[in-house]
Amino acid sequence: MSHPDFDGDGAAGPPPSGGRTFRRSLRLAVSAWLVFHLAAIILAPAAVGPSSDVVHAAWGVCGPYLEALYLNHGYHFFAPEPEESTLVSYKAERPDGTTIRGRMPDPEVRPRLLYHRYFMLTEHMRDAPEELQDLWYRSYAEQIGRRHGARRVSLTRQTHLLPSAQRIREGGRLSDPESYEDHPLGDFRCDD
Amino acid sequence: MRRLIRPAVDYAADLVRSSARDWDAFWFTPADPSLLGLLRILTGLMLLYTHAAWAPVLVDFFGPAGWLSPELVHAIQQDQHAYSFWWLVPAGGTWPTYVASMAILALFTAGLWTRLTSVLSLAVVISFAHRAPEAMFGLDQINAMLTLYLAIGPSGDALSLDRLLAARRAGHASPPEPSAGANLALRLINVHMCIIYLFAGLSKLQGESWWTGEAMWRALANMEYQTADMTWLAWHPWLVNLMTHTCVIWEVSFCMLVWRPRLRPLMLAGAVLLHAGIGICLGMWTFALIMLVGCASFLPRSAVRDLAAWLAPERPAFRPAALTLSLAPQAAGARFAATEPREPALARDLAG
Repeated sequence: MSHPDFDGDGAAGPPPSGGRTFRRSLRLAVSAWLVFHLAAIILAPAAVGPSSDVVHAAWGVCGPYLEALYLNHGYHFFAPEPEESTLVSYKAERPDGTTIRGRMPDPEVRPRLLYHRYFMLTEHMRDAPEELQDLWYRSYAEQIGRRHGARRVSLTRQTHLLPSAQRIREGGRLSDPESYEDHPLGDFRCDD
Repeated sequence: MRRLIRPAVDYAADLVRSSARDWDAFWFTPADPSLLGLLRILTGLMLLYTHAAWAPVLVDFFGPAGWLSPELVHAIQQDQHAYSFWWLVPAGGTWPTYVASMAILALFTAGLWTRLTSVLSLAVVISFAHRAPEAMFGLDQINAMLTLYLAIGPSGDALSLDRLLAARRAGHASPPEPSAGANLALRLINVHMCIIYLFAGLSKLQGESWWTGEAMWRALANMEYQTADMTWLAWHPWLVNLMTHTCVIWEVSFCMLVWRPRLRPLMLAGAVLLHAGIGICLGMWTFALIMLVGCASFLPRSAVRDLAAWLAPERPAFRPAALTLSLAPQAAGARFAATEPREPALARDLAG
């Protein structure tokens, strides 16, 4: 397997002048790409709000490149604040009249990685733009309907508030019922 | 007037020349590909696990409908350049596509036809991420980043079936040749890890709880993340404060201090502590481990090269680099000079 050696002044003796010119040109081209790439990967997290007009304008240039390579990330792990969790509880009604209730993510799901996938589904739903919310909720509701053979699915978003340390010291628990806030998302018909 | 301008012009010219020299030394000094090969194996194993975990719910996430319907994902990505081969898969093709993807990732991990399978693996990782974007998190971001750089560099030149087959064809094993491509890929991983930690730290400084010292409590008291009961920390607020401040300081300073050879072991030990904590307390072992794989790009290249040489079919006596250096510095220096091109001062300093 051969790979380009960008260094034209290698120890194996001077290469033919054509080869040296090619390598220097290659090194220049790679350097130009490096400048662009480094600027782009710095721009990605810098573009997460609040950000300046300059950064917004630069995003117009680098954005497509970052998106295509799946490098368009902010790396804001637990920032700016570690937030409360968003869960989804549901009620699925089957044609025979039986009802199934559940909540996502289900802590019993294994492997743990899969649990985190479901958790991301509910966490990301919190940030759904207003114009996409109905489509978003309907997508989840229809999948729940397919899973349980249900014709009708009701969704409720649950915000699990974080307890203060003082509340725990006073005898509170992480799973206290009053730490959950319910926000009904609606009823959805599932025709599949 | 000329007396005033001349020094400024000389300074500017010297700055440009020395910067160009340093740039070349940093990015293009040939490096042994053994560390890159090790990172390929570790990243490949994580890719295999990450994608194998989709199997029980494959159709629910990558089928024609699923949790994230095509209509929803297209609406989310309408202004983005987010490409995925999953959009081309016909009904009934979900499983064959998945099996082919897993085969590509396995070949990449083993280092067979790596030049091709590394690029295909990148396509697999990106396609999965773009088909189910709302199920992804930091793990997938680091997976994609590492796979990209392993596809750019000659990650199959060491610790690979490609290398084994090449030795068999030639009739003898020889150490992999240092290349600028290997150095470029390793440097890209180094720099990208620094950017990740820097912004992870800076973004925390926007939040009040990272200043009041309560943030770590908020992270550890989140029942949906929690895998170990850490509520005992409620009685030790000073410890929570200390953990919070240490985390921010470590993340913000990583990009500066990890390049200093004497401080590097300390910074990497900090990475192990931080990510082990994420794994133990929050159950995010996959994310924790892939971040440590990224950090492994800062490991001493000579040590990994010696290890790779020891694993090669024709084994020379394995001598750990640190031990060799401490016992016979001159001999070690001579051996280093004989196997790798001489590095300019800056690159040598940065490489440790």
